[in-house]
Amino acid sequence: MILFLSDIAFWFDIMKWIVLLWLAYYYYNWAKEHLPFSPIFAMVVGFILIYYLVIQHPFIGAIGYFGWAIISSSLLLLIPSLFRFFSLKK
Amino acid sequence: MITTAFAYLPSSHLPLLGLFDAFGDLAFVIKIMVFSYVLYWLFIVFREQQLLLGLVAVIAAYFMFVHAVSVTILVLLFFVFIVMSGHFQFIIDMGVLPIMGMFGFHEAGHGQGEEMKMQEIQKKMQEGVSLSSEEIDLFKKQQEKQDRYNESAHRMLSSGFGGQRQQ
Repeated sequence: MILFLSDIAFWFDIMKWIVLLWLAYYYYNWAKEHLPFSPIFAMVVGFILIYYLVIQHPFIGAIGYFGWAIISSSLLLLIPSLFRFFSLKK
Repeated sequence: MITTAFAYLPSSHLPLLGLFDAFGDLAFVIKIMVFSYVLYWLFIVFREQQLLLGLVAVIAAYFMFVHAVSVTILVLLFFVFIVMSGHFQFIIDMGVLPIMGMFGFHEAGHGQGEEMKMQEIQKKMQEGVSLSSEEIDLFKKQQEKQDRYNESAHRMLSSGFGGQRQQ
């Protein structure tokens, strides 16, 4: 009866919808933040972004979001410290 | 211009070229996002002058429609050199150049090895062991480097703010 919970496709589907909803929220929020002077304009731009980057090309939208998240989280600044583990000194 | 070029490609005959449709869509989305950024900056600058904001928004829209590619390149340059410059400089200095040095394309990674050799040479000199010709060359090179560094440091200190502070 609860066998469907062990179905990997089921959880994949759930995760996919969560990511898509999050992307849609993120892009709509981006439009709202960058066009604070006009709610209608923000809605139009938000709709365009969601239509193209979430509905039409979800992978491109996801790459855009996660790429920007990696850059702006300053995760890349930790890369140099990785080289401390691989010292050239003999 | 890019989108019209893609429009002439026979994507219906080559399913793989369906990618170009995605590029066309992306070009449009990027234009919209760049225009939003430009409007946002204009809004911040002309927040108090609504009339000017309207006028400049119309001018920005005109530039966006006529010279979309140039405006996008300009905004990207602004992002790379001003918004993200610290990030990129740090990553290049501390991440990319040492990696290139490890593979011999840059001197950043060689420094460590030479430092170790110099320590060995100094140890040998203290113990009075004779040096090989290679080691003597390295020692001379390091000495010259040090002299050059001292000279430039002295020049910097004796001019500009350093000089004024001494007086």
